[in-house]
Amino acid sequence: MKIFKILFFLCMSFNWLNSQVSDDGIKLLVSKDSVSFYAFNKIGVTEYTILESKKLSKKYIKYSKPFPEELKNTELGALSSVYSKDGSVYFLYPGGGILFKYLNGVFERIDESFAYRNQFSGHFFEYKNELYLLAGYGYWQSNSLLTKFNFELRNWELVPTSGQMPKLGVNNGSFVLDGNILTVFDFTQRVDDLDVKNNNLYSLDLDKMIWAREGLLNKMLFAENKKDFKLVVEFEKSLLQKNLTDNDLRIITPKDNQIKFFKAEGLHNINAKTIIVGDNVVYPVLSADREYETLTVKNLNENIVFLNDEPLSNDFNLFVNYFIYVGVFCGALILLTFIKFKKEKFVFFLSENSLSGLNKTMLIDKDEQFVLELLANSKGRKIDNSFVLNYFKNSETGSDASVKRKNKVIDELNRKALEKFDIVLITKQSGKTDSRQVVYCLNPKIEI
Amino acid sequence: MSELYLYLAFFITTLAVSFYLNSYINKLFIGNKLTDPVNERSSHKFPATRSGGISIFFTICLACAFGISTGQLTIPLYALLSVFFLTLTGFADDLIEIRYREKLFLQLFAAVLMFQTEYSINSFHGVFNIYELPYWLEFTCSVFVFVVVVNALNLIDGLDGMASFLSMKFFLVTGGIILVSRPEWFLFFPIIISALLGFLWFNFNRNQKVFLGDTGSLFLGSIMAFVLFYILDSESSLITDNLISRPLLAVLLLLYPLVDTLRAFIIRTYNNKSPFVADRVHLHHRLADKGYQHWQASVLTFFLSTFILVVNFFLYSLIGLIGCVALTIVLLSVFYYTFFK
Repeated sequence: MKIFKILFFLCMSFNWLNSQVSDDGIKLLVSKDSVSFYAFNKIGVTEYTILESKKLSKKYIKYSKPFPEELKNTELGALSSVYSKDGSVYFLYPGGGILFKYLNGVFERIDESFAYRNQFSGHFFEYKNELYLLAGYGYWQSNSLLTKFNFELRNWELVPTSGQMPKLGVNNGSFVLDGNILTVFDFTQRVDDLDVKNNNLYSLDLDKMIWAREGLLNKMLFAENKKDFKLVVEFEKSLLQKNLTDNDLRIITPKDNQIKFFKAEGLHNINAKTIIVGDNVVYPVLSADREYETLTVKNLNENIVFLNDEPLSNDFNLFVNYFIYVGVFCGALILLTFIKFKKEKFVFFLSENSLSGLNKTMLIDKDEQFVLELLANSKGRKIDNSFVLNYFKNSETGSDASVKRKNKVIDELNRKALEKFDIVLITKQSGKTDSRQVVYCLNPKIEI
Repeated sequence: MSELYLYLAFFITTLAVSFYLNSYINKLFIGNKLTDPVNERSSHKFPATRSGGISIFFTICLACAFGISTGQLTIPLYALLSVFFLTLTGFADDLIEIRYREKLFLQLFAAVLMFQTEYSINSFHGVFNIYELPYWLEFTCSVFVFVVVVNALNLIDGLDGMASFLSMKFFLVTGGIILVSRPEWFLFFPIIISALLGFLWFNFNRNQKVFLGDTGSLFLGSIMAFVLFYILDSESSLITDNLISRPLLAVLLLLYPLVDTLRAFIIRTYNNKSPFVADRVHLHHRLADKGYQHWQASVLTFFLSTFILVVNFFLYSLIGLIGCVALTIVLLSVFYYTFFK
């Protein structure tokens, strides 16, 4: 019986040890400062410090209080975490509501709320010692809610915001906090049960709680309807994005309106648990037998090769380019209008008693017919006044009467043509050799 | 680059459709003896038809239907209803001459429809130190501006090319704003500009002259009013906010129609006439009377109003709103004494 009891206890201990081992992996990495970080699991936390040699020194602390029941069946990696300047690390339950705090070996729940489940994939961050959760997805719709944790009431409260907010919500977005400005971009919105990409760049002023639409994301760099980069790590005032399947990496700095592109050959095996600590990339690597994970530390700058940079939001360029096209278009339009009317010729047919053209006919008398024929057949379609006057001269009347008769015929001809065809037939010019001489010209747009 | 090709493809196709429809509908109108009478106020001397508006309307409907069905274009529903309603009002007016009061009532109804879109004039954007407006004032302002814009465009449609050139200026400038802030609407702009170009060819044509008519002016005016609602709505985001004040931009976009309408109303009232009576006191009539050909007067007006807009764009950040208003008044006075007096 004794042997049996000993065996029984041995088996129990072995089972308990087994469960300890299985739960002892690196579940969640949280950056602390520029040289140290935490690796949390459900039993304890290891505080790592990166030495100059890139080796890690570590200090393991087992939680002094029982691990919260609420997280027993939840992957730690699913929690959102924030390192606070007072040394605490806060963890938010997926979807918002339940909040945990780690400080001095104690991992405990600190809220009196419940799992709201309306802000999945929202952005959990700290600003001026307050904890905020922005936007997310829940209950079949995305939202732009901003909630703040009230440490006195131990509950979350809604923070009203105004301005040009993304009304249809922000789901699965990218966020960068720089001073009091939180930049929000590269997110989707739920529209008619579909995730539709919003390609605008927004900012939220956390002092005034005012949203502003800053512009349109560079269309060449952000796909129309999907998120390209699976790994998104916020560090300092930038955001690192990397595809897990290739070596393309980009660092986005909204304040500078810049995306820098890099080739990251040495970071090919980084994964979704990656954090940035100072200049270092820290990520767990699974052992070959997939039994345990080891941490890898690599200097970011040494493992990436700069390729090029592009503006994050290029709508001003787009706007300017558009107006260059518009300027060219307007110039072409005016030029073509000029050419059309400059080259416009109207063909008329002259008979003994009529002038026909533009689907109309105008009756003319013998004198008018003579003037028109004279002009049409003359060189350069111009005639000196004296030539015309000769025709109107009459021995019975004086020269004044002849001039009056000639002027009357030409004026009458022009009046009738203007009325009938909306065109002036004959214009007056001063002579080239003698400016006192009048020269009559046929309208250059007319062919007779 | 692929989007540029898309816009170009729509532009060229719509231009071809507009060209064909303008010619075809013009012949239909002539065949049915629906020609515009020549009277003492007319600037044209040949029989012409008022088929331009309906041709533009059908052209844009066809192109937009194609754009929407291929997922390249979206159009707000209530804006569509309002524009359709007003276009049909204009068509009826072209055919059977609706009385002014009845037309005003129909315009008010269309304005209320347009107000149902999510955009309206809900802020003065700091003019007179006024920002957000109470709902009743928002409604009143929106309806008033809608009616003014629609009628202003109708009133300047007195010379060949005038309404088309000024509409093109409006849509070319606002197109840039929409391209950035609501790219899903942008395709409409190459469509409407090419439709107007097709019409313009016939409007300038002596043998197959086509006028915009009330159909066209109300159609274009209601679209312009919607774009203005978008520009003046405080919740819409405009790239021009850092460059120019929104109310100033709105006025500059429609500078000639607004100035000419205001001037005509003042002169008629001063002469103890109804402000709505038709006469030849418009600025463009002065240009025509001074010997400018229609196309010259239209191009000149287009050029001058665009020049004032561009100058304001460049100088707003330096001289502010009041400085820009003063500058605009000075430029208008100089141009009036140089070209129109």
